[in-house]
Amino acid sequence: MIIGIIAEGSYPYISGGVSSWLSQLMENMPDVSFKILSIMPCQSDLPDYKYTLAKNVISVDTVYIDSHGKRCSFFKRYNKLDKNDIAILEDFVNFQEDFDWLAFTKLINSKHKNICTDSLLQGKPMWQHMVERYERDFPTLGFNSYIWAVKSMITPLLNFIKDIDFDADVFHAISTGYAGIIGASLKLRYSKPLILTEHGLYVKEREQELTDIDWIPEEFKKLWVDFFYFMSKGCYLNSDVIISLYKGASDIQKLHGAPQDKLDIIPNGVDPIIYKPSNSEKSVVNIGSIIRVVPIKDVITMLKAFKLVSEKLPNAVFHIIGPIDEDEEYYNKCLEFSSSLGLIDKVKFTGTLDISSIINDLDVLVFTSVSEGQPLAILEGMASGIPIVATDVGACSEMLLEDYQSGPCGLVTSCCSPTETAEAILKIVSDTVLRTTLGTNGRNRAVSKYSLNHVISRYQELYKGFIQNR
Amino acid sequence: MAGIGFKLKKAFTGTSLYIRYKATIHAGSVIVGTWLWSAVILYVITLIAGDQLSRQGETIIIQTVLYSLIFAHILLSPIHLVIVRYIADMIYTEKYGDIRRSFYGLNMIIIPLSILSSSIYYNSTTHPVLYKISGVILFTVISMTMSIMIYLSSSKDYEGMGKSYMIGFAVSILSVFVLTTLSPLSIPHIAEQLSLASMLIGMIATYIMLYRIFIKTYKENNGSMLSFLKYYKKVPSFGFIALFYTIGIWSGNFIMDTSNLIIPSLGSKLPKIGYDLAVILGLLPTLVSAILYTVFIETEFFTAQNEFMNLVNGVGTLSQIKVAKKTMEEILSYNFVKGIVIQAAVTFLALSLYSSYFKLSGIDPSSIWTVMYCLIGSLFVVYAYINLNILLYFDMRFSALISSLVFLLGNMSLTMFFALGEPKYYGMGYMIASIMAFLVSSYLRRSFMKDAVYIIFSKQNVFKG
Repeated sequence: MIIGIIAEGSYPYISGGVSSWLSQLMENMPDVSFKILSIMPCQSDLPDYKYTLAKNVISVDTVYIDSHGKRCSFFKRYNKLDKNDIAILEDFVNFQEDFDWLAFTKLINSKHKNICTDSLLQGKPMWQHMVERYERDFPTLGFNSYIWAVKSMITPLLNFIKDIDFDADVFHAISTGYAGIIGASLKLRYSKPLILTEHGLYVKEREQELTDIDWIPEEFKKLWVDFFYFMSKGCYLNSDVIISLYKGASDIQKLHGAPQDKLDIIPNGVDPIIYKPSNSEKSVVNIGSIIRVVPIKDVITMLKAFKLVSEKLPNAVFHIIGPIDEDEEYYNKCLEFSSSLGLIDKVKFTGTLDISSIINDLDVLVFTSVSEGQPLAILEGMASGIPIVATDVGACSEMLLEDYQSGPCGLVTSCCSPTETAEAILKIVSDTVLRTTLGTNGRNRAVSKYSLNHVISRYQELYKGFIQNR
Repeated sequence: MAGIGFKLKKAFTGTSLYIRYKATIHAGSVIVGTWLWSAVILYVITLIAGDQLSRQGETIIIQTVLYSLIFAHILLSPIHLVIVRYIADMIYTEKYGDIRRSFYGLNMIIIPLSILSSSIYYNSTTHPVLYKISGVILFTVISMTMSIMIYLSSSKDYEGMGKSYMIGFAVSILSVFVLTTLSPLSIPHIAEQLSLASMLIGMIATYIMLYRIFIKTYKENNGSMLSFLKYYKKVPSFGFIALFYTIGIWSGNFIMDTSNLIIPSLGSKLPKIGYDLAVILGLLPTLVSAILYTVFIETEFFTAQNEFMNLVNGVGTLSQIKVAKKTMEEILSYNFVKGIVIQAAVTFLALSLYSSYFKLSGIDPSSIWTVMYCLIGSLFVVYAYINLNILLYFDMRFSALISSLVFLLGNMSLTMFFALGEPKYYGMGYMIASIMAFLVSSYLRRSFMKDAVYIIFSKQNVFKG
């Protein structure tokens, strides 16, 4: 059984929750072979692998969003498009909600239509549809910016659908976006099942990123968001199973067009043997966060909260654990901000560390993210009996707050609220009973609800089910 | 014309007749300087040498100068557009030192090539040694002068260039006087040797003056000498476009000459260069269009095209882009039609003058047919060339290449075809090929203009190739 994993901006080049989850999944299924299709932004600054490949990973193919794709041969410069094909292209350029991805995939890969992505992009039909859309939706904006925006969106998509040669018994996309739509096109091309697992919600995350960019006009931001929705919906409609980590995410998927009957929930899992509580005595208060230093984690709010905490707890030390090289500009901004708050000696950006060996040194785990799925780091903290402070995003409240089985294991705060975060940290640190109770609850919940074995067996069943049904 | 637009635009900033006159002279000197200068000086020298020069000697000199010009033109043609593009890019990126260095690099190629090719040719002739040496040097200096004029197209010192040609002219005239007076006339063929030497001395004087302007224009002298050669990889069609076009013009001459076919009426006076002279006479009136075109393209069209491209590459809305495109098309069409009408009038006038001159000179009037074909052909060929340049302005290299190829193949095949027929049809091949090239290039230009926005945008790749 060969599972074709399609990952965008993550494994094996970028470390983080999704990549760690994937690595864990593959390592724990030694009898299954995996092929990886990794989608990265550009070839020019490709990072090194951040993970040691498991023995059952048989290949890693990397494709790039900024690559040109295969060149047209001289004889393929003129497409043989009929009226139906042109109508398909029109729907494609307009990001039509009920877009027929099957017909589109067939058209792009048709041997008789003489299609090459260059000629399609440069051809009159595509151009006319782009112009029509511009005149209808954006007539007062710069035409050049519009054309480049649309071409930037659809060029990689066309290249991927046309050029990628990646086969497996089951395709498993780890997000929507380009990964999801590649998965959909491969499923349609090879008639193989497609599983989609969404950790964070791709569209929401991209929307958040766009909000932070000030050089893109609002209208074009909307265009980009529409495009991401377009891809996501294409992926939802063509997936056989759509997995999310928690109910809230599943509800949003449904809202975004995922068919109800395909939805399923498989949470993240943690190994309770590797991550377990310890009673180490400490002379200082260690407050930690296990995150990638990127804007979506809102490290600035975290630093502001640390400042407030340090004023009350002079012996507190703050550890920001995780990769710092993903967005160096943001990391430098955080360093400067930390320095401006006078926290330079108290806040430590440690870089990537072996979490299992250091997590027990922490007294509290803090998360101020503006968007999350179901953070693995929270599960690791819970399994280690460490109380958590996290913003009310993704599955955080579902994971931390009291449920019908057990009591709370952390405190939930509002996004972008350093005061609330600081108050929650201080509350936990100053109240030993509360800290112990939250830690114990967390451990119990991690073992009963988020055990890695349970997660692995769910995916194993899923893969085997598809293979047996074929 | 690399960068000439800015200078001409500056020259046209005023509206006075004097300013317009200066700009037109500038354009003229840049485009036709070497050709015009050579033609005038040749005529004056042969007049001054007068009886000392035999008819055969006069023919040899004319033939030498004419073929030196033609071959220098051909030699430089595959380099011309590449250098123009290179200079334009270097000016844009303000790498002025590279421009000067590339000039030296170009000369490193042109000078040995000129010496080698002309030496091989003259070695096979029976001319006296002094004449052979003069011929080799003349060809080399003409090639060098044509090269430097490409670079000086972006110089604002048009007065200096004018003076350079005037001084060279004066030096030649003085030399021919002095040399013919002092030389012993008993030496065989001395008159033609001295005439050629006089012309050469004047041409060298002109070149020295032009070189002074060159080093004044491009003060910086650093960078790579041969980096312009990389442009053959970047824009390979540039080399072929001008080469095909230039060979296209002269291919008929080679075919006629190698077939030993001459126009009978001209043959009695200039037996060996009859067809060549007809082509030259045909091309001569197109200097008007060449100058008009340069002034137009580098001023009005440049402004309109700039406006259009700025909107295309900048923040223009589609409706603004369409308006700018329409303006550009209107300017182009108006000036194109105006140019053709003026050129047609000049051509008609030239035809009348030639006809009268032939009658007065006792030349067989039937020979006017060939001249007429060449005149009409040249009218179309110059507008085919203008189309080709406009296509290149928008980087439509393939269309430009097709246009020049149609002309080359058309002129070669049709000249051969008509060479088999009666002498009165000589030149018809050139005329038909020119009309074909004009029609094809006009069609390609109009097709491009119609879909300019689409073509420009569709050629842009978002990601690297």
